Amino acid sequence: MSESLPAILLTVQLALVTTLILFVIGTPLAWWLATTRTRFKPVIEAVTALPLVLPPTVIGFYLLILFNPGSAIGGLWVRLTGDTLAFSFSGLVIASVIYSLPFMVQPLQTAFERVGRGPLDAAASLGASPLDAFISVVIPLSLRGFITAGVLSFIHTVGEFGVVLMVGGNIPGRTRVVSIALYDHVETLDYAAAHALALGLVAASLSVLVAVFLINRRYPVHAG
Amino acid sequence: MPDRTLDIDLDHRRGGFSLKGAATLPLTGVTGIAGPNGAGKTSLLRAVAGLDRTRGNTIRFDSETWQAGPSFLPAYRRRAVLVFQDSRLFTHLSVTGNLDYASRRAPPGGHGPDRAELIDLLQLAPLMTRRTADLSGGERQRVALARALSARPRLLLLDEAFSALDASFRQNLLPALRERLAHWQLPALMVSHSAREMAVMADHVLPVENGQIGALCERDAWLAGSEGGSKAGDEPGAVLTGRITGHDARLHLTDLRIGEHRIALPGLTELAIGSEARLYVPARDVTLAVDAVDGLSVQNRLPGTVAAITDRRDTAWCDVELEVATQRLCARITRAAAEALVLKPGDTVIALIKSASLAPRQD
Repeated sequence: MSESLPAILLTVQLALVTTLILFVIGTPLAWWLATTRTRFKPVIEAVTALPLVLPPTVIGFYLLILFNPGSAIGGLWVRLTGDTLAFSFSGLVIASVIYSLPFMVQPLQTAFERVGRGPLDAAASLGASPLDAFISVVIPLSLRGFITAGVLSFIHTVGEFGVVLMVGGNIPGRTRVVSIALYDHVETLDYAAAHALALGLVAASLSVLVAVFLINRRYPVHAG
Repeated sequence: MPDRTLDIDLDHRRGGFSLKGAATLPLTGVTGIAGPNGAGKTSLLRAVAGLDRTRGNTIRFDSETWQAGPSFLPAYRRRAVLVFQDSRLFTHLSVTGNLDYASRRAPPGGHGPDRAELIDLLQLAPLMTRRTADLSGGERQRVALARALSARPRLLLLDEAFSALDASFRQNLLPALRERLAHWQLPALMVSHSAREMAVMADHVLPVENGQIGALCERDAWLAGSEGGSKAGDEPGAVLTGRITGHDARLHLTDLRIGEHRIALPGLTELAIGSEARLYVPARDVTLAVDAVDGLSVQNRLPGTVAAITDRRDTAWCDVELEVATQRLCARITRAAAEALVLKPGDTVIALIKSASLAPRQD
């Protein structure tokens, strides 16, 4: 188990950073999707949901090409930070954010749509600015949606494999997360270590999901 | 017209619905907005509140422009607080939390309702720590009203804000609220389906029908059905103002002086002796006699003069406007009766008011 510890710590770190970034990006995006009346809404929704249906290797492949230091984005990153995006922790975070985006946006959008205009109109009439009303009314009324979105994004990031393998490779302490370590153990026929990791993932994911479904029993949220 | 006015000129279209017309409303007292369902009354309030941003609307509050062309003052900066028909309390907050939400966003200091006054007016003391989800419809409306007033509005917008209150509570609240609004110098627009609410609360009435804003009229003229809108035309009535002179505990009657006449009415025992009462008398509850009649169950008799007789075309009815002790009263009688009595303007008659018409009851 001790040789698995760096992989576990790295996985938790990746999932936490990814979830935090997704809260920052996903909240305004979900709010916009819940309130917009533009004709292009279905297109934006489809793009947001794309990571759900694409094979992770497809996303990984395109990201790898984007992260290449010879490309515009990859080159800019190298100039700014002195490090490459591909096969780095930062690259993994960006890939995870894209891969887990629908798991953040869809529960939030559903929660915001359920809140509706009524309480917002009341808040505005009482003198609350739009940002004030969002913080003081929409967020408390969508709390279940935030919990669901955060938990799903977190465990989905923990469970990813294909994107990580394509973008991050398998560098111990840098990009080797639990799912990759497990793959390694199987490749090297270390079934004891593989069992420990696999069982641990199943148990952790199951207990988190049970907690989410308990919280949302009365208000089911579409998680995609 | 008073100096301070709310000028509205609406050209509002959404889906298949439209609301058009212009009006200048006084920013004193209460202006009733009357009309059938779907006429556009709620849309009018929402436009004034700033909750619907329809191009083509022009709204000016006193010297401030709230909306004109591309300029639009957002709802949260208008301080025109809307009391929604469905209350819209914040379900994540307690009753106290809802009131705090409004008072924290109210301008500091100055003239306006304070918490204790609102708790007393709307009898909120037993509700303060309750969760809003557990309140009844009437309790919600009381909290919503208190919440709106806690925001210290410059204009109060009431969208059937009393419809869920039980009749006896409403009977006591409306005159008290009207008195408080005057004390706070807070003007209000009030949408209501109840001629009785209009009679007790409104100074003027703005009829709205089929998406068209009508002409502002005096409350008494609107109630008499001589002006504005089908509602009052179908159900005319009048307001009598009298002074409470005493209560009869045994008979549960309250003595009222109207001019030099006295009548006794039930259901007014809360009113203080010496205070002035405004009473709504629907025209259908007024009977006319040309001579003194004995042996009638109707006890309240007021002598008056016929001012005008209005035929209600294609019906059996006509409405007789009377002058009673310098006040107006309206009686709905059959045309056959009017012909049999040979009524004409200037005739002296006795108006018999059924006591029961003034008792509290569900509108």
